[in-house]
Amino acid sequence: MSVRLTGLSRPAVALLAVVVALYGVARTTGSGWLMVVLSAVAGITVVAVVLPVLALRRAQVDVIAPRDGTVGRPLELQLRLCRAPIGKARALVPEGEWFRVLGSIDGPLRAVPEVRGVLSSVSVELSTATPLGLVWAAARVAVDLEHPLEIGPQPLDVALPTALQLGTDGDGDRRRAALAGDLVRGVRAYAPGDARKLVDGRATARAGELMVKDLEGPTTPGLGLVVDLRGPAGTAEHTASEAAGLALRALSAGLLVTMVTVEATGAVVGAVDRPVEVGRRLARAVGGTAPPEGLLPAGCYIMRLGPPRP
Amino acid sequence: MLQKANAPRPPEESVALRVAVAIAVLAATTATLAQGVGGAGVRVAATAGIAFGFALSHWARHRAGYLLKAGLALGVVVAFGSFLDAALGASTGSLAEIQIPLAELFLWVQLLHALDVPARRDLLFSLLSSLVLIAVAGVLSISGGLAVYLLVWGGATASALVLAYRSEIAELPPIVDVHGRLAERRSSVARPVVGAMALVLLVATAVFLVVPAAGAGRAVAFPARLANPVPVPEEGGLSNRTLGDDDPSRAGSKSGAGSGQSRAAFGYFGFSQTMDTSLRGRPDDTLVMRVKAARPDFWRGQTFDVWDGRVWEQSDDAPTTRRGSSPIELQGAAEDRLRGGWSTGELVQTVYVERPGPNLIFAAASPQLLYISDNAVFELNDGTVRTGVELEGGAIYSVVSRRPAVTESILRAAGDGAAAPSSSVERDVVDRYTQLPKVPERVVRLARDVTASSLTTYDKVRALEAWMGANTSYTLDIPPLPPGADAVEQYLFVDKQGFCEQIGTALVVLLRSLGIPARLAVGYTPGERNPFTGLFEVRADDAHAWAEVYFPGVGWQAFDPTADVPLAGEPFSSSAGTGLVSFLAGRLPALPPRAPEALAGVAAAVAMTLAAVGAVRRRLTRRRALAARTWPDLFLERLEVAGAERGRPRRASESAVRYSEALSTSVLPDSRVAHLGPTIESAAFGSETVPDTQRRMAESILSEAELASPTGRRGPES
Repeated sequence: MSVRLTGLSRPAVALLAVVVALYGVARTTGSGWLMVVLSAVAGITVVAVVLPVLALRRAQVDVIAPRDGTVGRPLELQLRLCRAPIGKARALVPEGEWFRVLGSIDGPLRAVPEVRGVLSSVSVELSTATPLGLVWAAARVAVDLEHPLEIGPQPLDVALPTALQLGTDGDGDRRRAALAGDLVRGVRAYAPGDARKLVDGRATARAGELMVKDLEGPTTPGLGLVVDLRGPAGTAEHTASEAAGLALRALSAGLLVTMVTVEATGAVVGAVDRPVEVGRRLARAVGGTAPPEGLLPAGCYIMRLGPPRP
Repeated sequence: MLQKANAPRPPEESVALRVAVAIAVLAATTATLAQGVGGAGVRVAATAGIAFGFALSHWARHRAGYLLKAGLALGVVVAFGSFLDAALGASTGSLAEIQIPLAELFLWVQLLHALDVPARRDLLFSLLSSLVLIAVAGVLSISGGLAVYLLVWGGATASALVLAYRSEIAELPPIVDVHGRLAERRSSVARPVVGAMALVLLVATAVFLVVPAAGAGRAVAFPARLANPVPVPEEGGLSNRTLGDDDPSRAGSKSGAGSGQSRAAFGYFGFSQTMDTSLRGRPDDTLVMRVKAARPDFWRGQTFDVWDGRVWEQSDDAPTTRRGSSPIELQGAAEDRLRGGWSTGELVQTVYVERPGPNLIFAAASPQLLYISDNAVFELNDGTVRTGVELEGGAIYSVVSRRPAVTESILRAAGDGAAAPSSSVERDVVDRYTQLPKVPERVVRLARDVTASSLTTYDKVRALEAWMGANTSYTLDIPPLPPGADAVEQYLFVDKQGFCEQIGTALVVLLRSLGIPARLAVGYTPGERNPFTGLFEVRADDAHAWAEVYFPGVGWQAFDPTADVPLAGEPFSSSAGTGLVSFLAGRLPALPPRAPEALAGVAAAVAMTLAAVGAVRRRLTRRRALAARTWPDLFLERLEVAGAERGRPRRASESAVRYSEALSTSVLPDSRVAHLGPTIESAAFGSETVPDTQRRMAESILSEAELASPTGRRGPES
């Protein structure tokens, strides 16, 4: 824990000005008592500077963080402070607002992540001017997390491509049936080899001969997202947010979503079936190399997000 | 930005903070009033008004109070106008004369401000202005009585700062748990206040011991005051009512006869027209004056030049009147004006008279300027000064003395005062100050024998001092001088003991017998320095007599076989806290003979008892903590020990589940070990109690794994 002095309070500045004036008065009048008063003020100054630093060094900080977060949305860190001086605390990474510390603390500390990524530790800032409130000292404590905190991008509100919107009229069951190739488009006469389960009893009774359901072939196997986060940071974050928006929209539409991203360990291709998985994949995604495109399932609607190809 | 700076602050709700600030302000106010500032009306208005003001401010803290603010602004203008009126009426324009009106102005400003302190910022401003007030009291105070006010003010200020800080922190949002309860455990206020005060006292004492002393002040701030000046009976004459019937100003008084029936206990017979060395008895320890000076010196009152073997007399009975407005310029002795081009050292002294005494100006040698609230004084031809009025308790005067910055080498290099006077002034000095009656032969022979090998006047003086130091002793209890006996012969050869009058007289007589001009000076030794006020506290028993020796081209230099007289050219420095320990030790009550040993024994016993109590408490606390530990705590600790012994300690961020998984694939290779973590967490956090059978199974799994993997065999780290 590194402790630093952060500044003088306004009363301290005024006090210093008065002390300088009093020293001049002491030299002019030769008053012995003024030297006593100035010595007392010197004592107050030393205590005001030293005690906050010593008090911060004694503080013990522990933080338990959730596994997931989203940029711009508050999350709660469980903060445990022991032997902490009276002052204030806030989460620094991810950033939060100041809360008061009047003694030991064991409770939630709100923070709003501003940056996408994976955090293996969180930083908490403690600030105090105990006990006299004249000089402020601060300490930043990095606490290792038991499991990393994955912060996904803030999803953009984007519409799915038109091609993916066909059949997406709010009927989730129908779409799932279309994906699986279970949509009935009509009835026909039985042909040898047809599955028994396709026999349509009503049509058979009407026709007087064995009739079976005629099914639509399987539709496209969902959305394939190739997320390329190379380029300037702002552009990359926008791309990540766009990918998140598309993926979440596709999932809510009942589509299968497959993402291709590049992580620190290399390219990752895989389906995401829950919104939290979208966030985690995009939290871990980095720029660096171009994500390979040939690994997506055949027939899926491929969308490439990122900088244009050279 | 201006709008933001002037935006009204939220009112302060803490009553404790308001009370602490009020106490600090009242302590500073009463400290200032105790220095004689303001009449009865100001005292009542200040104390009651400030207390009322703080109460009113709290009651009206949520109101805008524009009318009140306008009224207060008008009050400040009136107070300032009153101060200007007093300041312009000051006769000398010295800062010292406007100190009291300035202090009154501060009091009125403090009172008016107390009526409108709704917010914390206003309260802190009040606290800061109380610091200014306590400093004003410090400037005016010359006694140790300010200490009590300072302690009260210090305690209240520390409390106020701590409370203000807590109030500021309390404005921030708290951390609340999921049930909406505050997730904090508050601590008390008393501990930080007491702790801070103790630390401040410690550091302040250390600073006080090393910071330079305040000095004696500058020309704009020399105070002078005469409370009710009463002219002395004879203009230019010496008056000393403390001598009772022996007051030289009383007609028909037996000068030097010393019946002393109505003499004050603090009266000194040396402050008279004559000084009879056969008189016995010394003044008591009454505080007679306080002196503010940058360095200690002998505060000389007058000198004697005519010796008859028992009694000293002054030959100058026609002092010269020095008139003028303050500061009055003094001419000094004629021989002092013959000094060579030595660099001069200036010593400023301010004397605060505590008890009525002689109308003598006590000051270091060679006074040049006198600040006194009178337009005439009387200067004798030896450079000493008498006032034209009685000096009662409460009188104040300041003196600027300028002497050559002499050192040992300068005095050694100065000529012999007896050999070849170079001017008529020096001839007069030799004639006057080598006068002797018939001196016993053995006294003269002694002087010659002791100084036979000394080449310079300075060395002769030092040789005689050394002889007297080795062959005579100082005591206040000497037998009476037999009738007809020579006082010096009696002291040097018969009694071989005496006090300052005998010792000083003997040195003067010995030097005069060698033809060296010398005289007896009387006055006071420096006194004890009060480290808090910075003033030298001179008591009646500090009255003293010493020898002064003339060095051509340099002037008169004091010598005293009983004390170390500092030379004006020797460097002198002191810190503000010089003499603090001895000053405080001297005020402790006298302890019985074996008290130090007894105290040491008691202290050791107390220390041992405290140590034993602490050890017992720690043991009890540890036992309670152990008893309070549950099975998951104990079993996890056992798991950690098992892992650590085998080279795989638990990392700080590792949960029990992860740790047990890691152990199962490394140093405790048993797949069942991986299940121990979940068991621990279920027992610790689960809603249902883990049954005993499961606990015993977990323990036996760990035991088996430990047996299968004894310590010293390390597996791959995971």
